[in-house]
Amino acid sequence: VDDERFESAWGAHGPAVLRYCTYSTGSSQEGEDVAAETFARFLAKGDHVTPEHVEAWLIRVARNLCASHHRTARRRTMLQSRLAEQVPAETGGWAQPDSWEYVRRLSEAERLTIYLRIAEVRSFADIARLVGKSESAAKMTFYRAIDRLRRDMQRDGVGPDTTLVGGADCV
Amino acid sequence: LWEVLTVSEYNDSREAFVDGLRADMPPAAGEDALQRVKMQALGSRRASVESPLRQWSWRMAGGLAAAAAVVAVAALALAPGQQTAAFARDRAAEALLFQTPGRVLHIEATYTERWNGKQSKDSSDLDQRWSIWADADGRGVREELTDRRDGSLDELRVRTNDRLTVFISDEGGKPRLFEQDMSNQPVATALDDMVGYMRARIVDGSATVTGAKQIDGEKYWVVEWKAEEGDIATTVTMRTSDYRIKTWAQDVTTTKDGSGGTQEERVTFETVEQLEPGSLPDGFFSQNAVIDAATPGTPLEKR
Repeated sequence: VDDERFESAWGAHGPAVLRYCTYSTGSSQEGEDVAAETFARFLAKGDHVTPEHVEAWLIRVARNLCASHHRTARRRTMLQSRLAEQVPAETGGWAQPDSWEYVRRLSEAERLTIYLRIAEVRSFADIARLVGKSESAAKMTFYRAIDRLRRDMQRDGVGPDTTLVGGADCV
Repeated sequence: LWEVLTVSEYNDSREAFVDGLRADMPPAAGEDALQRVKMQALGSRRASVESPLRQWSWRMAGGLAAAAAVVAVAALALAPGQQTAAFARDRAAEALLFQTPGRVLHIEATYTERWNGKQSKDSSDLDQRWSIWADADGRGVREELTDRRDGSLDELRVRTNDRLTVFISDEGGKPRLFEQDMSNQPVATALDDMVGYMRARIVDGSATVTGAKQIDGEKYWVVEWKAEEGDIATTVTMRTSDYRIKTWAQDVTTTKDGSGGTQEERVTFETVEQLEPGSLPDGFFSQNAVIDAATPGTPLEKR
């Protein structure tokens, strides 16, 4: 990819990709690394991507890298916890909210959909285009993820809405 | 007690929840962060974007973590009457805490990685011996990765206290030696995290015992587990007597740069033993051990 294409893609989508990666990884530092990898791949292999598909291409690569990050992180923390004192998670400008502990248990597709809908205020049609699903599937992914988050957070009594609406904790 | 809500009330409460999540989103990236990312991307004009640190992270912890995770899943799958978080925690802890204080845990394993897909030329296949020595008192971890085909050293990593030192014999055609401050690396409450993750897997029924086999005269269960939206299939053989993992194999179906393919990863544990600290040479867990093993003349980078 030549500099002009890179600058164009970066200017249009760099901030959103970085913000998504920060949200998905739960860390400003890790988010920066994953976002940089995303654009490095675009530099190396984005020649074949048509301009109208650049955003979706970047989102999908970022999504795959974030999913890979979560697989890595799960493994890493298991051994580290045995070998090191526990330290607060790296925040570097964004303090992980209580909800992130629950957000990270979602699938990457769910995290991405939640990010696009809530942070980027995208329509479901737009989300569907970016993630390669139908609009109804995107909508279903979003609301299922929201309901699962809400149920898990309510169960533990954390989060923005602690009103019980049913579930295993209600007897 | 169930609280009965109307559909309208339910939707309102859900929207209120979504509003709360909106406040939890990271802020729009600042100019400094954007500039760092842009420079990092522009500086990475190379075919492979898998960073050495990421490789280190997963290889170092991969086998043990996966073993513990699957032990927890399998135990739950085998004990439907005890499917509680507490039970999962006990089983996971049992798998993790077999190291005696004051000893050094020594693991010998093999690791292979193969990428099948259109982009196979971008990812060289790996066939490595993977040796780990972990000091039970947290003083250090040493990891060696050697090429099984010729025995040459591929990578040597030592983490002591808050510092990681790594030597890679061939990265992009040349050796690399670097150290990194690890004091800010996140160390999560891993068991809590895994228990939560396990609970979700149990709920969705993705872990199952599919059979049993004899290995070296002992009985092993075969456990299969699909996770991560179905794109990772894990198969484990686990000794029935103590839930120890013999083999762990993972097939990752993913897309790379927009094209489809399958990445296969295999870890096989060959020996797991505990050593007396005195059986290891002085400086075994020191940074200098890595520097001494590096190709002469390789500059030390600091990150």
